[in-house]
Amino acid sequence: MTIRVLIADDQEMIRSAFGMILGTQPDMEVVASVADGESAVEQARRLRPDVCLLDIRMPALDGLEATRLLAGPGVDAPLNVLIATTFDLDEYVYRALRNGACGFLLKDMSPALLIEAVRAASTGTSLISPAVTVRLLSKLAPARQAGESTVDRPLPEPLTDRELDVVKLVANGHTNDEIGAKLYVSVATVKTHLANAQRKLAVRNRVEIAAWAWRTGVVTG
Amino acid sequence: MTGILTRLTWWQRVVFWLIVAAGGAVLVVEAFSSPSAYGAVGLVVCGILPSVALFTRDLAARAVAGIGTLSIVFTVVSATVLPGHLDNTFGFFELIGLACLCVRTLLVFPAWRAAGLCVLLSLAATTLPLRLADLDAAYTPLMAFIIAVVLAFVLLLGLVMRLYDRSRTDSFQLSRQAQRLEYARDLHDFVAHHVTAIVVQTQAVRFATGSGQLPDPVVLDKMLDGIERAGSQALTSMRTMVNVLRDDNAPMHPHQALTLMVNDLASSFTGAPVSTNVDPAIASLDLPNSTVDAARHVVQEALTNVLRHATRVSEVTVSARARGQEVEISVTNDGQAGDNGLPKGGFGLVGLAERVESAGGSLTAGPTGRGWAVTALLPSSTA
Repeated sequence: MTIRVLIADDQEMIRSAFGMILGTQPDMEVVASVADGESAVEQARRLRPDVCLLDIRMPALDGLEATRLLAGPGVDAPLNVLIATTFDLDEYVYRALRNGACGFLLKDMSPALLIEAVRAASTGTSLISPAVTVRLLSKLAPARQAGESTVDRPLPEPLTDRELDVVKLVANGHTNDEIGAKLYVSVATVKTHLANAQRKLAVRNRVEIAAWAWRTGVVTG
Repeated sequence: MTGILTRLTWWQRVVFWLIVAAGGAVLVVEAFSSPSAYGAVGLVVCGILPSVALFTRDLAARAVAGIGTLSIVFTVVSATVLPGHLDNTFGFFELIGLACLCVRTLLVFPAWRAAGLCVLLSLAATTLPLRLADLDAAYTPLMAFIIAVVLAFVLLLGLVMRLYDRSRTDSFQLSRQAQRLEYARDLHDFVAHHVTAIVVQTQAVRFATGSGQLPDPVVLDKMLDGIERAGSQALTSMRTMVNVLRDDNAPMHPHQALTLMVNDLASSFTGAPVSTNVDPAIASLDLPNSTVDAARHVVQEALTNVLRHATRVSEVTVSARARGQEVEISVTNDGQAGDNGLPKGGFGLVGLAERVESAGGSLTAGPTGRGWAVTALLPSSTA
């Protein structure tokens, strides 16, 4: 199945370069290439691409705001939004993730990583740019002095031990394949555990599961 | 100090000259009331010198020390060698001059030197009554005491002014430091955008070639053209910015003339499209360096603020036009002031206003009905 991608960036050079990189993949297709956030939202709503690759700094409407409109809390059928930016500024990343982006990557990462990220965003089987994401999420960890894990509010339905194991590995940036290998289970089982965890935690995607794990101290540095 | 006169309003100048005239009259009266020529000359010389020192640009510590010493020598000579040459006055004008000189000394010299000079000047001031040998000896300590008390207040005033001056300088330095940091950050932002584009394009071509899909020569040429332009824009941004980060006294380069500067900054702006509108009449004017420099800061800061604080901007306009003896630089946008979640720099407009004022201009910033405008009026000739 073809992965349909929308590219939004105010720099023409970036759009054409991303287009060229994704164009090398037979299973990927750039369905729209726009220069500002407003058109990005409009086109994305119309075309419903599998992945929206958004820049942060754009005229009319910035990428973070566009993300909120496409994948933010309360949006029906949220789209997969991937933020591509020049800087991995913490406040950008926090807002991007809070607004529902499923990943965050730097524009100058290697083309192979870009392709991997787009693929990951379309399936949700691994964290995007694990190095960046895990570094930032680990800052969500509660103060060490607290000692024990501080769950913000008790879950209506607690995670099983196995689900917790999977969640911990997700939070450390492992892919579904790696998790399966580590826990000696099939990828399908991993997916089942993740789907259950996602439902119990009431979160939308993998990165939010990881964020929950770091925030509540389920995983620590 | 003389520079202060040009900055006073007309009525402040009138008051200033009235005070000078009154002081001069007191001095003349004092000179004529002296019973001897020796006394008159001494009073006038010792009286005038502190006042002259008050209005001397680049006052030397040695001059202040000399004035204090001369006053003390005159006092000692009057009291011991030549008593009876002064009877009505010991030099009231001189006393006022010495007190004011104390304040200026406190303001301009480094702490230890100022302290030493103030001790010398205070000694000269408090010993003034000794010149009146005929006076009832009982009054001398009393007068010295009164002078000392008044002088203490004056010194205290000087110290407060010194502290105030220092804190103002500090906050100016701080805001300049903050502004330079901001420029450094902007330099990084601008250049990083261009360089990122270059890197990504290069990667794309190599990646495509590597996976056996040679890009079309036309596409390739277009990409190389883009890379070339991004590279030279990055260089231009760097040059413009580095000039800002350098010492403010560094000589201006010809390419910093207003038109080029505006176009430079506009072309390196990464947000909404910028249209520039420079009155051709201005472009050929020989603008003072301070005006060009201030104008660059205005444009720079305003464009940065558009990126930072404005949302839904579709167009930014930078314009410069002549307005009588002044040049008007304005940066307008049609966006909404909004919170985009980025940290706010507190010193931006404050530092900018200070810079514009120090160049002899004025700055206004505010909403225009549809958008936001930052406007600076700057002098167009050094005259």
